[in-house]
Amino acid sequence: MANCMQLEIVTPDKLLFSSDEIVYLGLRTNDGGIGIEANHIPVIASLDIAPMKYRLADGTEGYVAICGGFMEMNANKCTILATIAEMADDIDKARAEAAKERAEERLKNKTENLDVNRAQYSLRRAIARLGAYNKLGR
Amino acid sequence: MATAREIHRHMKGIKNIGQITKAMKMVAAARLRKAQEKAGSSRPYALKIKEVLANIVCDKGMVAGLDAKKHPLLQKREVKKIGYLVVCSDKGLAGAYSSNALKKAVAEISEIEGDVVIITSGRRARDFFTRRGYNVISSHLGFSDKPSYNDAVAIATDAAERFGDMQFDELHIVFTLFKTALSQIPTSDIILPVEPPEKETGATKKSVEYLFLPEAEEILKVLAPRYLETIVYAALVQSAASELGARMTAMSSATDNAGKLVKNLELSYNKARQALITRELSEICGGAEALKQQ
Repeated sequence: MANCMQLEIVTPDKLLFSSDEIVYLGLRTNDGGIGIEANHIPVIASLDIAPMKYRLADGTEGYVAICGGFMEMNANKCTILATIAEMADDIDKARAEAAKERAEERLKNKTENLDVNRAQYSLRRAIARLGAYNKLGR
Repeated sequence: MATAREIHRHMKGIKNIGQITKAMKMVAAARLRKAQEKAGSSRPYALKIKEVLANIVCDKGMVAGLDAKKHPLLQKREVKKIGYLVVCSDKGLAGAYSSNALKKAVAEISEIEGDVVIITSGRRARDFFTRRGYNVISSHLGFSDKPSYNDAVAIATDAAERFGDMQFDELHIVFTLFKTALSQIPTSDIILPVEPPEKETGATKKSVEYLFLPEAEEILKVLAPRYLETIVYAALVQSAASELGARMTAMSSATDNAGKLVKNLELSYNKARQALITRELSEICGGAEALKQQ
């Protein structure tokens, strides 16, 4: 078990996921993508809106859609503080696609009182969700 | 003395009210349980974010490179104008819940000599302060007993923007801390400028040097507002639980009182009915006697 680390994903509402058999984590920070394996040096990073990948000791892989937040790695324990996070299994593909289309539509036909930041934010969230969903290989 | 029919009508009315308050009590009890769960499940996030912030602000390696005080939300300036964020309920029928929080706020505000501006959360707080001519600069409504994280985000962003615009130099929050369903304590705290949490000092917890991605300053820029959001969210959740607790106890005593009232009325109703029967009987007897004598 020497090559394993702990992972906790916390959102404001609940503890979304926790496991102590993580061997690899692939994340995208605001500074670019990083990969984390067990016994990484302590890191604090702010995360981008993107899917995150994890690999367990038995080789199974999973994805989580992370919509912004932070990660802290310390003492072989990785904590992810996400404003919004969803496990790939829980993602509603139809809803994410609809949200994506809606956001694209709004960005295309710009009206005067369009909140561009908000529309872009929801578009990126939808893309992150779809990314996590599609990587499951369904 | 009221006639039997009047008493009967009164009784029916009170029975109906009793039923309504009983239903409200049950609803409040069920939602209170949920609100308590929510308060519990939001703890880990709040604790962790506090820890990360403490790590950034206090990290040994960073002291030289980063002046945390420079961040707009952490900046302390001379206090000329004080803001108050008062968290209250949207609806009444929760006993003294709202008025306790408002009393606390008013007591604190009246001690301040300078200008005070007010941000309200909850319809009661808005109505109270606007009616009394306070300077209410923004109000948020519609979620007092079921706050979501997004509501907290809306309030926190609003407050942070106004803080940045120098509309106030310090923001106090008045909310109600939930102890038990029977006791809720109105509390006040300073939330802006953000006071960076102290790092736990213990022999077991030696400070580690972190690698920051991107730089600590950048992270702090995103982290500080998040931290403010969690504080506001915690206050909202506590207040929601308090509101439901207060409503539950208020409605439970209202139901008890309705029961007592109905009991008393029943007694006087029976008396009135008995009196009526007795009177009728004596009238009949009297009539019969009169007929006999003719």
